[in-house]
Amino acid sequence: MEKYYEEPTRITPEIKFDPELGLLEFKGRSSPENTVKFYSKIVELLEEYALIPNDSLIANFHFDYFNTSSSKCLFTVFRKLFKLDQMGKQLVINWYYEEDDEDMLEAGEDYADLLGLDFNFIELEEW
Amino acid sequence: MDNGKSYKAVYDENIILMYKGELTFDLITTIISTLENKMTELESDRKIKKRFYSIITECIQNLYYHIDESLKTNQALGEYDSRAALVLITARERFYSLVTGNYIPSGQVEKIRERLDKINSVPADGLRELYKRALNDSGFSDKGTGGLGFIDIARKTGQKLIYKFHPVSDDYSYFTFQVKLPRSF
Repeated sequence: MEKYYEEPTRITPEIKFDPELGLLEFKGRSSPENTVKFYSKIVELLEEYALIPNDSLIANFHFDYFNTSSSKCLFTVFRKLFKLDQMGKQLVINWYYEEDDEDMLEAGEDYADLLGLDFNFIELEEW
Repeated sequence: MDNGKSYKAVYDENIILMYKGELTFDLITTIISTLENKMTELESDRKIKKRFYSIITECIQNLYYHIDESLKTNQALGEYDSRAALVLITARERFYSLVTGNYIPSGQVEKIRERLDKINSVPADGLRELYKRALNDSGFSDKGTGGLGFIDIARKTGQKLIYKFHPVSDDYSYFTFQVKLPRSF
């Protein structure tokens, strides 16, 4: 499987996916014109990742902002991660949020709760 | 209108943005980014700044996604007017106000009203649960919007959603929506 990289823009996050290292990372903001299309690639890649031999994935979510449409797409991403978890792969989910940004913290808590996944919540002073 | 008066109104009422016209995705991205820059001057509270950004993005994108629904058969209004959206953002002493306006097919009025009333009937501490349920249950509309926008706005402002439907013709109504974001929580 090949690496995947998406450059950040003002309205789309940076996405890094390195299947060899078992690393997935989102960073920035998300309010693209077509959210479903924007996230479809990473959803596909995670489906593919579930099929190849590997035993772990570290997923870092480092969002400054995402709109509600992205919130739905991220839920789809989390469903794929949930699948990996169910397959017995070792899954680490790090949810970063800026100091005092309780809205972003709550958003992460909601995903964790809905899918019964363990999240590491990491508050960052320096953003 | 008296020109002097309109100048005074614009400055005294702290209008941050007034826009009426067609929206393209590039235009709304520019508007949102301009508003964000303005907020760095106007607002010192980081949390309010973030909520403001989130609410205007959600509302203005919402306008953009729903505006073309009224295009198809709307000859009575004229093509330009039917596509025109209205955005008015003001800074008041205690809150920021955002008003949007757009034409919608009258057939959608009841559906939207029902959705807004349902959200307004939920107490503030119940909105998180409502949001989670909507996240888990419903799919996407054909435009990729997930039906979460209004809930999120109510949750982030802690205020009831204010709206009005004004019948224009048998086929079309004008939908005005107002959000008030308190400047302190």
